[in-house]
Amino acid sequence: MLTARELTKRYGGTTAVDSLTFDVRPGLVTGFLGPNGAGKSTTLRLLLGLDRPTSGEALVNGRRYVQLPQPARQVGALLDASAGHPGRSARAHLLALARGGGIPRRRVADVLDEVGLSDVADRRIGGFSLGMRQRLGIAAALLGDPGVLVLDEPLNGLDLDGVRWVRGLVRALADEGRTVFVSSHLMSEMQLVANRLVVVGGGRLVADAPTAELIASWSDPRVVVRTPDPAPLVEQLRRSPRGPVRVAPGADGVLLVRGATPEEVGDAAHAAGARVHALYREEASLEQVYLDLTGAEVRHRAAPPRSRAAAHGRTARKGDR
Amino acid sequence: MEWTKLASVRTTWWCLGLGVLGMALFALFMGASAADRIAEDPDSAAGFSYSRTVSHGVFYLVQFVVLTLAALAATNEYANGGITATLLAVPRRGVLLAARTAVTAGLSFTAGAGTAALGLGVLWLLVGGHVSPDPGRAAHTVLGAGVCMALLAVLFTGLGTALRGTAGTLAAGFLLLLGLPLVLQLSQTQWLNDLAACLPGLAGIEFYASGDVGFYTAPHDGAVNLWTVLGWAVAAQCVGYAELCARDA
Repeated sequence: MLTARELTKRYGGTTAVDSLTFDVRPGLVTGFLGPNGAGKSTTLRLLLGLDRPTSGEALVNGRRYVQLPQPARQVGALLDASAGHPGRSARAHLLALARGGGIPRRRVADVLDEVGLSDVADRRIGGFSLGMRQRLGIAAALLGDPGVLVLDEPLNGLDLDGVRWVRGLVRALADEGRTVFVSSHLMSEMQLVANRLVVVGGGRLVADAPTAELIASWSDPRVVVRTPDPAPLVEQLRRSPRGPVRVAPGADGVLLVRGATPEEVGDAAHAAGARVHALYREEASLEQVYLDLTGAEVRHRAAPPRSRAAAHGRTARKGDR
Repeated sequence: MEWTKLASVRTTWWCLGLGVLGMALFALFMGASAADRIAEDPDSAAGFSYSRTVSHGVFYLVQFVVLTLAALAATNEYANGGITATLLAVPRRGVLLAARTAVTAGLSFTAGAGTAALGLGVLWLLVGGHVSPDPGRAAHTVLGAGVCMALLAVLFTGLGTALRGTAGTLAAGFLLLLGLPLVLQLSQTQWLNDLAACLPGLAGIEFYASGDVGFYTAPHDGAVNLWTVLGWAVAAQCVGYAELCARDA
């Protein structure tokens, strides 16, 4: 269980985290989303006692991290820069952490095995690839067999195999009743794996809700229909007895219908005698919800693409799918 | 934990190896030239001192090994990000600093006492035929060098924790141990000259050489010099601890 209460962190005049309040509960995978500079890493560092809050509280299992007895056995964390000396072997790195955290040394071999680094355990960390470092970081987080896991961008640098492994691992950890808090930029992954989402923007809480609910409440479900006879269909839909049905032209000549189910659109097409070549419901993805939620809060925005035609091409292909 | 970390990095062993090698070579040269001198002029034997020669080796060589070890132990994790993992395992700053200090101090005691004993041994082999060492003073030099190196390790672990940068810590260390005292002594002003003895390097050698340093250091001999080094060590630890607690990791 992780708890943030009115958590605030200011650096000089900049407010990195602005009275955040949320809980991360056990048994669930909670995703932590937000654009670059939204205060995600700072929040994690505050929860883990690495930085001190300007005001408010950051608690782990009801206590400040610094006050936890044997914290390494209660909380495991993977943070961006928790690498360690490049001249040290993976095994020695974990052994040192085990000694410091009061963890039995046999756990070192266990976690090395679990993350698939047993073969390279005695090689120096400096020669590790990004993916291997990430696996080592996850090994360090699992070392104390903790009930709370905090993973900052665990998928960074992992190949597809690694991504699938982390997905399974994160799920399994939560299913064992642990508290799992994962930050990531990969929306599709978050949509797959997170039961609940905490979204921040500009240091403030933007959303804190179950993933499905968040997507449902923010999505703008619409029916996509492709027809060579748009006019009669539009006419028929406008006369729908169910109230306001909005029809807008989409890319590649499809029609986007809001306010009607696919069944109703199909029936309307039948009634209008319009031929239908495609008809499906399109729901917002987490990516769209995220962009809507954080759109106003993005701090580092890239210049728009130079070629507008290229951008159009992309949307068109997406709509086609 | 701190021992595992220090022992699992090659730099540590390179540093210690260089200290041992440096002292062995230094004693070899000094011993050989002293033996030559005494062979030519037996009267000059009275001017030879085991303690003084070994103390010079400790002052010019070994204490910089200790400085490097302590600076690296205190600062390297700030450069490579390891401090995050360390503080997650040991979130209480005081415990971390105490452990880190104890381990570097212990290793530095061994380095100081060990190299001093080695230096005495090499000298004895070369000069023993002409001058025999005084066991009491030899023991004082060995133990004194060990204790002083341990205190310097405490000092520079504290200083490094406060500064967080390896280069800055090494630079500050060189200034405290060698640069500042030299400049103060160059001033040719007596009170500045005496002030140099309040710096940890000179106070240290004054102690482990039992006052027989061979160049002017301090207006006073004995334990007061050890207290001076201890004072520096405690002050640096206080600053280091305050910084570690107050600043975000």
